[in-house]
Amino acid sequence: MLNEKFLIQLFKPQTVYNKTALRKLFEDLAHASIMRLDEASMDKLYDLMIMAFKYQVLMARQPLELILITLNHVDAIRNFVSAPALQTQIDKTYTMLMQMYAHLSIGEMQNVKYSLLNFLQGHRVRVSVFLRHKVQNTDGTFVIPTSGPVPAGCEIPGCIRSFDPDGIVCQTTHFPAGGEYAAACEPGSTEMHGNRGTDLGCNIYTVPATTDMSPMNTYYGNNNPLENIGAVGNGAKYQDLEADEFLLGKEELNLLMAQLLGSQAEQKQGFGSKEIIRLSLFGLGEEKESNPTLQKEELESKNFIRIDARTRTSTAALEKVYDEMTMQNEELQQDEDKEQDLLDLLDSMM
Amino acid sequence: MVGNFFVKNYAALDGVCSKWLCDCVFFGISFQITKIVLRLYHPSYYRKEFTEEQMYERNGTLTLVSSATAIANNLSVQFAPQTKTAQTIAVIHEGYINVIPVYNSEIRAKYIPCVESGTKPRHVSTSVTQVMWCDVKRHQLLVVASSLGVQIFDEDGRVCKFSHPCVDMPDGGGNFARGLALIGHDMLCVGNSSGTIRIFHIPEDLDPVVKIDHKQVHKKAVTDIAASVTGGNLVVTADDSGELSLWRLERELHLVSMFPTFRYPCTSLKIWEGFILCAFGSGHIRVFGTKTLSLVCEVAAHARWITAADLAPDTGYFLSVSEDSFVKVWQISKRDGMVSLKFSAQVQDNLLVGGKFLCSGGEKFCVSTYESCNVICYCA
Repeated sequence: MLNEKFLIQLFKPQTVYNKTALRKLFEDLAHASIMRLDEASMDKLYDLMIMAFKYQVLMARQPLELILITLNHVDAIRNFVSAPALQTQIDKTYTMLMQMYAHLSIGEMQNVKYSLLNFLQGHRVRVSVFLRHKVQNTDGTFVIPTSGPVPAGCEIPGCIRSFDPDGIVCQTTHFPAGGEYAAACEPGSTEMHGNRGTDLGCNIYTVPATTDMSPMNTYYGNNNPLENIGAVGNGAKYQDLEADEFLLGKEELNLLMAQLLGSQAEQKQGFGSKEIIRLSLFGLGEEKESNPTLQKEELESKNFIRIDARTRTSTAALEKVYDEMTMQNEELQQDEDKEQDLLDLLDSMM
Repeated sequence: MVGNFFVKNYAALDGVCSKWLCDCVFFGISFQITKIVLRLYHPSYYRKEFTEEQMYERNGTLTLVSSATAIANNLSVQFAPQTKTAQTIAVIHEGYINVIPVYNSEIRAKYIPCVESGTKPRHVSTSVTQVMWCDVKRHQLLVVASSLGVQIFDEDGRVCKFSHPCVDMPDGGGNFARGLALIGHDMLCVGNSSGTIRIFHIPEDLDPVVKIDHKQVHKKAVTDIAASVTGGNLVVTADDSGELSLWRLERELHLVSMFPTFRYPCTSLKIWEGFILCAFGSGHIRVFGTKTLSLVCEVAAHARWITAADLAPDTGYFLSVSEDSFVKVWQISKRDGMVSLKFSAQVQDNLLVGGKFLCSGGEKFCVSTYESCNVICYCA
């Protein structure tokens, strides 16, 4: 998808794509892996994508936030990808994005935002996660919040200032502005890596650590519940589903170690939850060739436990496994004997 | 116990009657207590303490043929030439213009496609940016700015009298005209996406329409243009980069002053009684003096982009609508340009894209919303 040729075509100045072409492109992307979707599922996925993007564009407080939203998308792709060739493609995408959009004025970016909104006009599908968090109404329109921080460069409404001809403030009056707005936050970073300053564009399905979904428990201390979700940059408060899987894997490895070591494992309980357990299965010789420095460190580390399968341990479960293995060996031998008999038979026939 | 009290004091009453009287008294007292409690804690009562009683009330909706597109200043009003009452309103949807009647349902609603004159393509791919009715001599004309340039139609929007592409860079794509104003009685000012302005003179018979000036006034696309109604031939222009300039038209445009830029562009401009009224994308409203050429007043009016603004010339009422879903009416003082708030209302979950007064005194106005076919009217 981030192939250079495709990107060059994509970044050519052009009018907004027509809807059928976009739908076809999306279908091709979804079927690029072995996954196959039927018509109804494809429709639902497409609607979900469109509505989520529409939400992001609508909620952008000022037009330059569209760049930050796109950078959030790029950051998420970067996290999925580990191969260096793909990482370079992502870096190239970032460079092209910044070349195209970083120098645009706020007014020009607003034209882009309006073009996107007008392209998405008419889509009013209700999305369950948005309905649940009360950011979408039952008729499909999105809730426009009247609280939260004002965009960078703007002021909380409520102040009227008069100036004398020299430009000095001579009088200030206040009026009730309606809504409960807070002062602007620091603008997000548009560097290759950085805090984007907004949750729009992040994963909306990350699960909060606490089950408390009350509107009071929010990122900025305002009444915007959806900003709870997808707060990847929010540190201690939330955890990823991915992090859950990692912990699960850790537990399984711990169980394996307990089985292999038996009583020894109990002594080594100080593994801690942060340490990564590595199994090297093929003896020291091979590893020395590939990674000499690492091997030396491991030898010197106290946490290196050697397990020699040639010596029998006292664990019952492992004994059973051994016995089963020997059975198979005997069977193999029998097969070999059978083969030899056949060869003899053939020879004898010749 | 209380019933006994009644029975004792009004010996003539029997048991049932006294119980009924008792209930009435209790009901009355609790009602009064509830009223007092509501008065203290109900939010609308609170608001009454701070502002005068709500100046305007919602007064019905008008329905468009198709929903309003997200662009700035997306509502225009046609006033009847003699009576100055609002006849029809125009709201843009992509390459089409919704024209619907305001009061008189006998006037047919129209759905005008913006196409090159004489053609009838099946698929309209133009984008209309601004629409304006203006009175030129005996005629009332509909002027349309779009990706095709500027087109002048008769008041029905049927016959195209004049068109001009308003293009400065034919090889770059994405050109459009934006910014319309009538200077004096017969000079039409049109801005475009390259930051230039063309001034056309419209004669008595609407033919020939002649271009009398063409000037590069800004570096980026023009957002809006306004001209002074009361003479002096002052023109103010703004662009996407936040520039704001004041010009005078005498045979050609002469620059009077460039105001300091505020980074956020000005989306809507008006000139009135020696003051320039500007609504910005940062949510600010700023008033500049045409004589002092300096900032007179600055209001932190909205929390998001102000998409449209209008002025009622008889009273100095100034209307602003914003992406924050609020519509607010202000009063500009003729004497010193000071601004005060008259009315504020949240149009729940509506991204407002247009707003105009329906009379020159400002007692009625209406607003349009992105992705909605409803135009909501308010009346004082």
